[in-house]
Amino acid sequence: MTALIETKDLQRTFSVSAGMFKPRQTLHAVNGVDLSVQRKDVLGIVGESGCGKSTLARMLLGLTPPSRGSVLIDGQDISKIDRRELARRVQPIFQDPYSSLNPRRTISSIVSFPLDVLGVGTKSERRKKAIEMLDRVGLPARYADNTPGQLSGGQRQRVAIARALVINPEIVICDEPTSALDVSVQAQILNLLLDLRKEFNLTYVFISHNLAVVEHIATQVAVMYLGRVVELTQTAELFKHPRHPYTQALLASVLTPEPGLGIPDMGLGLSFPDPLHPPSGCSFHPRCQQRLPECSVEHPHLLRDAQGDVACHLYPAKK
Amino acid sequence: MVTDEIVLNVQGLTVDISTPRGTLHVVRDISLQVKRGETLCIVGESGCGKSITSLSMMGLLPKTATRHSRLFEFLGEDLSSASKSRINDLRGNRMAMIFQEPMTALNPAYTIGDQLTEHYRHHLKASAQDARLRAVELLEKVGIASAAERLGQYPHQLSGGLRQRVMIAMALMCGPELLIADEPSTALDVTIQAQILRLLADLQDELGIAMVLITHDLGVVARIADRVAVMYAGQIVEEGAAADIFAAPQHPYTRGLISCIPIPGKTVPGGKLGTIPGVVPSLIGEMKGCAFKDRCEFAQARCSETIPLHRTAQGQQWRCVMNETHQSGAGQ
Repeated sequence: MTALIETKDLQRTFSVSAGMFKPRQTLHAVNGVDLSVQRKDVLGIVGESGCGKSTLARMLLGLTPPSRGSVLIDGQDISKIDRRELARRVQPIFQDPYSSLNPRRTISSIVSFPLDVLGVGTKSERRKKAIEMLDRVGLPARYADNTPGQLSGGQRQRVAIARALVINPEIVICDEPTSALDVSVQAQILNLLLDLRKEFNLTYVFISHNLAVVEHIATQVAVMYLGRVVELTQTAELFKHPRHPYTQALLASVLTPEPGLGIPDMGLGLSFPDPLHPPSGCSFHPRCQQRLPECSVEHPHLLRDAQGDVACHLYPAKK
Repeated sequence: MVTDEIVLNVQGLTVDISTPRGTLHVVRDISLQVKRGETLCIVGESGCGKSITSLSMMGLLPKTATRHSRLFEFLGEDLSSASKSRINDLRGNRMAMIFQEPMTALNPAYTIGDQLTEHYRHHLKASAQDARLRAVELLEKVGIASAAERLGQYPHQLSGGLRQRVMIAMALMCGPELLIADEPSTALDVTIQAQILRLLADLQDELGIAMVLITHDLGVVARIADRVAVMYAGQIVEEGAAADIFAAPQHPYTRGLISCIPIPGKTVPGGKLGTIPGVVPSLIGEMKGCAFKDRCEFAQARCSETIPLHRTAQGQQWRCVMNETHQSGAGQ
């Protein structure tokens, strides 16, 4: 079975100024990522800021071309797919509903915009469709002629969801869709995304730094560190038996509302490494509690077994 | 160690902000007490007035805001009518604050060393040399290596986690009795967030300060708080020991908030999370009865009348017309 969306050795580098009169440096934002998502799956991508999750999302959307490697949809390279056709199949939901909606347009025109671009139906049909979609995401029709400024954060995120879904895409790339929202609103949006996935047979790529949220919504999870996927496995498996030391540390750092557990100490040390000068060997080794002598020398290979993928010198476990 | 000495005692605090659309009643008659060695968490969603409450404690309210209180006692001294210069003496000295976003709270044009020593020299009339030594001592205390060299660096040369450590060191320079931290870990990555909270908890234990921590994250509250005050629409709707609040939340809003949060291993993946329908009420004008009544599933006619305050023997108190107590966790 071909995956609905797949990446092959995906890389993206940026040339970064290191200061006046200094040669420009190369930043590897995404460094050789292989992922595949089956139809109706939800792939969660977690990692700290600067690990390349948003760059990956932009490449999946075709907004940033990869430096090397490719993104495939149904086996077809997206660089060869017409932009409109791609937009019809893949849609984004961004983090900040304050900056991702045009403040001067009405809600109905924002939601019907993808239909305008694709030239679907007449103007009144498009408006009707937009209002139906707004209704489906829980925004009453009376808001159709308001502007985003008159809505709350949660309502704006509903508008962003309606805009993404109005053309019936197959894949929705959600980049931190609930991070800017209050917890009660976050729960509403998560419930909505889960309902919509069932109703429209959607496939999500769900990027978040909140592991509790990812555990709730994702069917499989990719953990990223400095541009690489260090562990990829089914969600339940990942939360039960995290293998990579970084995954273990991330899971330990989730503060659930359970008093008496105290504040965990993952022993990760102070610093996130400079992505311009990534450590040699395994890029996680300076912060790793279980490092081996070879970790600082050799980059670990991705081990693919029944449990999933993991890139760490501890695996396969030596006898 | 929580002691019996009350560091901050605020009774009947009200803050109004005048806007072109009318007067916003952002804080409505709240009372708080913090003891030495105790961590009080004020938790609530955006717009509930928690940040304004913290700013009003520090005397940092915007000019358009007015503050009233029946009692505003800090270390036994009533500050409700204290002069500006008296507040200036205390602020940054006996009471200190840590802000959410260390990049905007630190001045990008001055070195870490300048910013760390400025108020220390001002308040304690210390020499530049002494201030420098104190700064190095505190940077080491908050876990920053090669502290002496860091003093010459500018904020942009530090990572977010390091900047927040500098903010903490800065707040502790004069040895405050009261530390107010407004969302100190919200802008940080999860792994760094845990480190910063741990550092705050350890320092508080070691130095025996009273801490007020403002947050929207019940996960943070559960792990660090001795006592919790839940704010909604400018009022404290429930207050009590952290263990009691999480074990048996009484106010419908508190229960709603707790049920919204997915917990790995507890909530069913892909299942329905609890939600709180509706939106926060307008803070303009008088509020009759319970502020939460429009969103509450148990709302009834009595909710528009005066809301009684219930109190258990352990000191957990909440404002609601319903008086039956709920023993278990919220709808998980």
